[in-house]
Amino acid sequence: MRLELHRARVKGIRWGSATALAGDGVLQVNRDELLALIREDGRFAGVDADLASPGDRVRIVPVKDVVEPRCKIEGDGEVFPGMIGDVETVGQGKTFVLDGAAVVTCGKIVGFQEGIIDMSGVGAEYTPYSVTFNLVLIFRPVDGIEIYEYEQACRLAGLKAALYLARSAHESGAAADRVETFELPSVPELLSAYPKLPRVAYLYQLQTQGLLHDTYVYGLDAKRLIATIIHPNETMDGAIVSGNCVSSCDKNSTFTHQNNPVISALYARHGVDLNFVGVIISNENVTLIDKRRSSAYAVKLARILGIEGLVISEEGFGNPDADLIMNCHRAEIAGIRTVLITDEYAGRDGASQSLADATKEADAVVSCGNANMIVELPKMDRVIGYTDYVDVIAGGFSGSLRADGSIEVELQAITGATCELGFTRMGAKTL
Amino acid sequence: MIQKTASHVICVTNNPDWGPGRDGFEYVDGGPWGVFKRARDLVHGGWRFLAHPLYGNFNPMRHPYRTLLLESPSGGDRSVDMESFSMLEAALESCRAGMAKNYGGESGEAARRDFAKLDCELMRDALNRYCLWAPVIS
Amino acid sequence: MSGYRIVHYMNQFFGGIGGEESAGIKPESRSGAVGPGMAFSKALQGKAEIVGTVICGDGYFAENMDEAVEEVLRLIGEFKPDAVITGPAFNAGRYGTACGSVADAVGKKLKLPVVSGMYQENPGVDLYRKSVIIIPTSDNARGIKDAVPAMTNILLKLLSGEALGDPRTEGYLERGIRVNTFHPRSGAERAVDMLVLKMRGEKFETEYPMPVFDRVAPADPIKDLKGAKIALLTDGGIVPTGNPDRIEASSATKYATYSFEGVRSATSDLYQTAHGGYDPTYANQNPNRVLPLDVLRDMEDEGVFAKLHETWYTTVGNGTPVANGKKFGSEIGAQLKKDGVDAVILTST
Repeated sequence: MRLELHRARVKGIRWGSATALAGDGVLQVNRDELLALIREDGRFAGVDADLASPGDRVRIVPVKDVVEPRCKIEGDGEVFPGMIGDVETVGQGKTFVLDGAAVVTCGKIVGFQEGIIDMSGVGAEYTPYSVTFNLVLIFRPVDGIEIYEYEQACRLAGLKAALYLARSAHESGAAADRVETFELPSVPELLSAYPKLPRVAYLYQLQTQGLLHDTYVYGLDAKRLIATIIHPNETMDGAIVSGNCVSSCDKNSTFTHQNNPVISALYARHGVDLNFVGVIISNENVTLIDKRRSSAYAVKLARILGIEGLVISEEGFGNPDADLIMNCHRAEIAGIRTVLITDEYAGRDGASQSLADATKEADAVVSCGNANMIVELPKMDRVIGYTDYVDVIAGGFSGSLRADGSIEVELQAITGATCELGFTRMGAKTL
Repeated sequence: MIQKTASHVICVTNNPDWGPGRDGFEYVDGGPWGVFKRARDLVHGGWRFLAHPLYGNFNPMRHPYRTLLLESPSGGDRSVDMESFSMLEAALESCRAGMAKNYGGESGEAARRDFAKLDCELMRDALNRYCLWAPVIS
Repeated sequence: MSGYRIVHYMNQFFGGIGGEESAGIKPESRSGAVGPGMAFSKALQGKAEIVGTVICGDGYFAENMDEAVEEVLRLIGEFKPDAVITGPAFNAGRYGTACGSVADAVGKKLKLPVVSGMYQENPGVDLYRKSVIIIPTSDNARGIKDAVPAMTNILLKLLSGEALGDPRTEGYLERGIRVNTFHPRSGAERAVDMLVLKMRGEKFETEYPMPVFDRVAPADPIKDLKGAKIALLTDGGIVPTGNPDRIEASSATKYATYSFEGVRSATSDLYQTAHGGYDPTYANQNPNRVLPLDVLRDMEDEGVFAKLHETWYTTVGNGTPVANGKKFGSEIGAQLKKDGVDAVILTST
């Protein structure tokens, strides 16, 4: 499968009479047209839209998901298969990307699942979304709506908006600044192309525990999956979508699924010092029998593919630590070398046990940072969304939100701060 | 409750949203710590976890509710299941590392209701699988 | 007379007062450097000066920790120092605990830079490593010649406000706390780098060393309590009055065994506590509170279990090195098995 990402650089964002990428790189958005599209879903009592650019003294809270605007320009299917459109296999042909823009969905679903994105100040250093030009959608549910209906509506709205922006910009003539090509042929071709290079795969754990803790693959609730293979290019076309926003620091936003850094890092070394054979997706369910089944199945797939080295990424903390450790242990016992990517919950003082599980085979671990670290977020000039619930957000505490608008909170509350795909440069060390 | 196998499954919880008097449910007073303590007594007596005692993504002290799923020892074998024991110790350690949250005030009460709902949502699938009926969330 | 003012804390031995027989001396201060302080003075020459020394007996400190710390802090404060050195304590357990405790208090209450030095396995290390910069030393006083420059070096850095780098480069004991840092490359790139090295069999460094859990599988529960022989053990430090075997108040190097024969209750005329880690008032008033002999005798009479084992074991679980704990446990366990004991009640504090 071969996919070209046609990336058009976005250098600004503003409201305009038509949604298009202007010559100066500024993304113009027709607000009315966008809102009309989103309001088609009758589950919203109100939808609002706002803009936030890097450097603005703006705080966005509560963040549910972040999505990169993309659309297919050539090849089967459309982005976000199974969510908005059909389930045709994606990952081939050409996909247009508004590079540097993001759709951020915002709105109370439950009172504690907030994430915070600060566009400037200390907080901006910790979120990857302070450097993107953000179009923020703020939702209000219809009275009495079922909570999972509302969650689905919010989820789909973000994807629709992202597709709309990319499609409109492309149709108005936006041109790509650069094209990246990703090509990975069938397994027999890979093996004959690089017979001497070590066979490596990526075991991609997806959080799948229930409302606000779910992930979707071609629209299917991934807790229903048994571990399976996916072509890395499919992720670039939004085959994996997030329904998961708790806790905000280490949830994989749809943006990070679309831009999976492990996949890019493996592609970059493919044919050089490793043979990137494929990606195995597995889930993180609640019951132990599901965990064991998924783990056994995932490692078996790796063995069928003759994998010698596995990068394993986790999503979340707590019981998913058990999935990570189980996968590591099984793989290592089977003779597969592993590297794990996780974040830590070592307490405010950094002295507690970082993970809820351990195994001596896990001798190669990349840490994305201690999520319990306290951060002082300064007062911002403007808040997009609501701050009412900051005190009860995961990572917040009574007195978190101060009268002057500043916030003392754990890193856990900052969207994407410790993303366990290894998205940022954040890490931790022992002193 | 009709006994289907040599062992039986119970749900230990402090979440009132499940509704009172449900077959196979053991209600515990107090916060998550109380629920874990009850589970600890059971695990020491040979019971094992069917669902991991920790949430994905909440420190137990940050959440006022906890619902756990355990299976009794079968036959006369009451030896401790080491996997359950380790998971329990990890859960207790996690309690110690986390700071208890105070759900005061109106926003606290709204959050409390949300947490109760979410606890049910996160465990509903698991309880259905083991035939402990879960209420329809309204 | 130049540069920074330093106060040095040490025990009665290094302070030249005496050995174990002087371990009970209360905190006192001396002007200038004393004993090993001289070596520090030399090393600090031109940059800092030891203006005073505070000495306290290790035994007194262990048995009166709160008052001792308070008094030591007061004496240190009188010199108006810029920084404090405690030890080095090498492998002396009570001394190491005292050094760690004083350093911890200096850091938290006086908010001054402070360094300590002791052998890696000194119980003071595990107790205080998180909050105190401890420089590793050899296990005996001959290591002073290396300890002094190492401790001085770090102390001067702290005084100059220089941020300390990571423990291995700087030469202090890992504090065991995780601190966030930004790497030059993303986590994903670091992961792929690490995997390539690992697959090649080349050296790599994990970013998170997995903790090692020393798991002990619990024994099966007793099936027949009524027929069981129960033994009573404690690490709460209850001993016969007078502490005949001289179990130390902290960093105990031994356990002792005594007989319950003819005794129905652990009364205060027969027993006392030797443990230096808690307020002894209630334990001394009624040692049954820590060693529940009275209740067990009642239960024995009622037939809850068959027999209370006549021999009981005790030690002080206060800063006991893990290695000692393991040793005591294995020895006692083996003997209890020989004596046909079915189960043990182990009380602690």
